Amino acid sequence: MSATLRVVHYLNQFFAGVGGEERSDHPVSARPGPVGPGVLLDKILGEDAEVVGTVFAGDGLFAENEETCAAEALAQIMDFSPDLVLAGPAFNAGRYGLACAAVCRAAEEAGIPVVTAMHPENPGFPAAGTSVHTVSAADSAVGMEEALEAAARLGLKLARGEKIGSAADEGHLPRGIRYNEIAELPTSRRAVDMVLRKIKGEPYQTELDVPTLEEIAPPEPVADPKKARIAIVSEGGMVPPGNPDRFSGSRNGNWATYSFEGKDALPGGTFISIHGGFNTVFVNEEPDRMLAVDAFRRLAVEGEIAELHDDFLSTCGNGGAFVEMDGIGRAWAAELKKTGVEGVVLPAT
Amino acid sequence: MSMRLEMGLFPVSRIITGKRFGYKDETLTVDADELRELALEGGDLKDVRFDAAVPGDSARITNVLDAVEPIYKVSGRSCAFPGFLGPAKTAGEGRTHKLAGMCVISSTRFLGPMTGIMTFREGIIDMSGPGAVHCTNSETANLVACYEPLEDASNEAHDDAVRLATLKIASRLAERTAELEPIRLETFELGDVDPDLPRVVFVDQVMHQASMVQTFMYGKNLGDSLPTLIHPNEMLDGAVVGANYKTQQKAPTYLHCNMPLVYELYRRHGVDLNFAGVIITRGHHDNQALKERSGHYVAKLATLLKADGAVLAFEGGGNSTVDYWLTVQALEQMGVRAVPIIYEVGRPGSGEFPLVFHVPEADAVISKGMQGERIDAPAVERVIGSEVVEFYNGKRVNTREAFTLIDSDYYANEWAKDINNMVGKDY
Repeated sequence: MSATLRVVHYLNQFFAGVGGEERSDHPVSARPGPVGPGVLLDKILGEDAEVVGTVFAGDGLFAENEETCAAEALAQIMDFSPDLVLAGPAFNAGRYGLACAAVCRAAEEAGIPVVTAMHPENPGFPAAGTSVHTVSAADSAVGMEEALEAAARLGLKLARGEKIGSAADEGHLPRGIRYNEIAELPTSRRAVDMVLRKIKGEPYQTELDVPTLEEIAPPEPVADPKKARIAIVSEGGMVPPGNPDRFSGSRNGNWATYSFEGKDALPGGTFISIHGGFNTVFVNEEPDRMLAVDAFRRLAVEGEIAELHDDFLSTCGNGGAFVEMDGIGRAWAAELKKTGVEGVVLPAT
Repeated sequence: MSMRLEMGLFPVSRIITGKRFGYKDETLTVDADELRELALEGGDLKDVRFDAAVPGDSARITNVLDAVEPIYKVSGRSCAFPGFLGPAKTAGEGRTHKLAGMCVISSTRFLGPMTGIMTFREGIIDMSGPGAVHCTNSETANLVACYEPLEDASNEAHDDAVRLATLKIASRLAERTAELEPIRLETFELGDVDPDLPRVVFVDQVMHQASMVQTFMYGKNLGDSLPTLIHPNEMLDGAVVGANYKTQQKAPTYLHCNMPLVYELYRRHGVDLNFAGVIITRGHHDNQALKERSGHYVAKLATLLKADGAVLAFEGGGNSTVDYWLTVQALEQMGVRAVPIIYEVGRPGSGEFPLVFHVPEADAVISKGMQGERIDAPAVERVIGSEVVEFYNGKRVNTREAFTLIDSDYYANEWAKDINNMVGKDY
């Protein structure tokens, strides 16, 4: 028979019974055994596990000193040699949720299985990140027992190193990461089932809840192009022949700076496109049809722009992951700001 | 006019390349010399040789272009694959014989220069092992035609020649069953049903971008096409032929002729829905205006059909995702409830954004999972096609040996996910 699992419970000062908002500066403290809702948790855990200690702190103190409080909480947690850290439930208390998230992240980095519970709208849920499991809780303490039961069930599986299934199967909140599974019903059957439910006005559940993308408002036009230095950037996979920085034609994460200093136009052979998503024949014959150096040099001569920046920033956007492309865009903005560029042209592919 | 199609099925689970045609106990014997002569009669191919592989074999098929299930029109107005093998008369009625559960697979190489999108993307079929579930046609008995190109053939001309030869071979094989009694007979007819049943259309978005990435309907690619309405029986008779060699997204002709949504809507026609028809629409229009025009055309056709709902399938990558979601949006705006099936672009476990484009109207999405799983492909006893292949990322691999690849390097991977019921789930 396996040994009883050792669970450490994290609470805020209110649930630990040391006072309300007036004590929200309470320092990180520990007590052996369960405290407050920990008594119920201990009962729910049954014979397989026990609450060996409780660590708690004031939410106000934690919010103002998150890093040091999390480190302190972790040190006190480790004194109990835990097999699992269970934080909360924090319901919809924002500062408490953020503290639970910070404690869980710290404990997880130290190699301890963790689980927390809070309302889906608690800011602590996104703060917990993609590796911490958060079970759903009501927005107030009326949902205490239900949340503790869900957290205990998932926490024990995590502590035992069991395989954790999908959010729907395990009852935790989706963490923004997805995996493939084999569905019980054929793809086409699920599609027809869902359209019939939609037509009849019956409830239906999408299989892909698409997160909302940040809306990017177009920036104001350059105030006076005649006085502006303009840079060209490209996600069209434009590289010197030989592709020295080894860009990939799809799902590429690299970027590089190349120069057209001293060139009034880009004849064939100066740059090539290694982009895998469009017909590159014409761009390879005449790279200016992507980068338009000939046109911008002429605009500079005619005084329509002050000058063309001699370097261009290049990547390949085909199949690029949002997060990587977002990072490249930000890096480019920082790079160009250093050089005094006032306007950027990004030709579409 | 009622369109009634009788499909006489001759199941095939074993293929022998021999000297004369034979069909007995699900075993097909082919006359390889006859088929070679047929393939080479136009003078557009240097040579062809045949090999066979069935599910469970320790075999790997490389350089795969298309997979075609053999069909032949025993009676009816049109031929099989109309527009290619005969006049583009409306298919889908009369009687068709099919060698069911087998495919003629075209495998070849291209000698001309390849760049950008017009690059042939290596497609691999594993007949057994962990990769089998990640490609289509690991579940069919396959007669593989390995074509040698003429030295001076352009890639486009060679592609045309291979396609025509493969369709001819497939149709000839099924023609040999014309006098035989089918093992099973299925009838496809959209008969009158309870008018109160909800009317559902199937919107099939196929790929057209350039040579190597295109789809044909009645012998012509969909380059300048508008969305159009067809009867599902036309698809069963080969009105839609695939020629998209972006292997991770491609729908083989075999699937155009066996669309899971066509069978599902037929199965439920008169039971809990009324199958109102199929709208074929191309993806990857060149600009936003054309994408919008296309989406609204689909929605208009659906409303002319008095459709209450639409189920949508999709062949394509990032760019054509925009066409797809704009179509969903237009359908919903016109009051047609839409359910699209989509693969996700975020890699498993990565937390990456799952789509390149999205509309809020798409609130009922069917996922067929995400690409990006690493697969350890074992060594095999036999490679049909080139043993050494070059993958899209430039990596050269001897495919007889064990190697690692990404699921999307397998042949028609997005459709393998569909027919193997893969789904993406939140974790």
